[in-house]
Amino acid sequence: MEFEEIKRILGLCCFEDNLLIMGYRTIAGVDEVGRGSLAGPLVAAAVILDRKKILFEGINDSKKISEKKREYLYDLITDNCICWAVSEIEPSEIDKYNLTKANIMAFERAIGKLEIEPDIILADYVNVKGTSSASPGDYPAECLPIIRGDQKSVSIAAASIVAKVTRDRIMKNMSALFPEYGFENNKGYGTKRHLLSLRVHGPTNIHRVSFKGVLN
Amino acid sequence: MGNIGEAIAKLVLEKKNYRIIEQNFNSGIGEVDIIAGIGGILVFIEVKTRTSDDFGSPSESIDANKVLRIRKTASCYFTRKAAAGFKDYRFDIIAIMVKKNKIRTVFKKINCDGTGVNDISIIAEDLINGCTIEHIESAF
Repeated sequence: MEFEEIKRILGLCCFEDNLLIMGYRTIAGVDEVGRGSLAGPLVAAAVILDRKKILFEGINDSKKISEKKREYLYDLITDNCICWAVSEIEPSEIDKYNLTKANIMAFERAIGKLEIEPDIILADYVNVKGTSSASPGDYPAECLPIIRGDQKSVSIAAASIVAKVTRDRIMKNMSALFPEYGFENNKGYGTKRHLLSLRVHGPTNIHRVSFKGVLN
Repeated sequence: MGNIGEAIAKLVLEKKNYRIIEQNFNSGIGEVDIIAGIGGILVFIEVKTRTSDDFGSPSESIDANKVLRIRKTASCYFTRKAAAGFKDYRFDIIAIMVKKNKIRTVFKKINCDGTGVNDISIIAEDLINGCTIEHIESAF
């Protein structure tokens, strides 16, 4: 691995290393994927990395790396971390609760499934302009929300990759069940083709009917 | 983004009117955490951070090898940079002991005031009151 890459990854360990200095022992990163999707689950992942095994070449926010690279890193991360877990919030649950609440629920479920209880959780600070963001009191106890956390923390980046790959696989399977919508490509997001298919075929039971553009 | 212990040390030094000249000066041989100036003296500072869980006082953990490396790095500094205007130099240790339950209250405060954390050094200001800070001048 190039020296520059090693430096870059170590730069992503800043929050983790400082927390270790402060006496925290097990640090979990959480992230979610599928917030804006019109169909399919919201998937959250929680990952506790082994500090001695963080030099995964190319590790970054899942949105910044190719699908092939993500799949490769998913295997590396899940094989070399201390423990990891994913949780899914079903489309019907997303319709029932608001999205921010669903997001936090997803985090809490994923954290609850970890074999080892973390001392502290690093999460991306959900702060989308124009929509309601999670208020800090919503986060699970002992959670440090980091602005742009998926780009600043290796643990959150690892969780983002695990969540994305998990969800992409689910949506590929969904495309076998519902071939008209192009799920294998759009992963449920509102592309032109997807919106067109919605108009022609209507929604499936995995569509989030409360979302704009699903029911016309 | 930096190291929380160094951020606390930097705040302490600034309060005492030290001028921070350089941070994390790296020679091939070693590294000095903070280089600062006060009253015409150039001070090389090693920062040690501990929580109340850990054994031993922070100043005990600096061994002869480390001392040698810091001295060598200091002489690299003199040769590479113009350390002009200083009449003397000194080696200090700043030892920081953080109370672990104070950390929890700081995180709660971050959570309550509505902002996520951009930079770990934001926490330093809040943590200072919960720390025992020992500034040992001429430690070696």
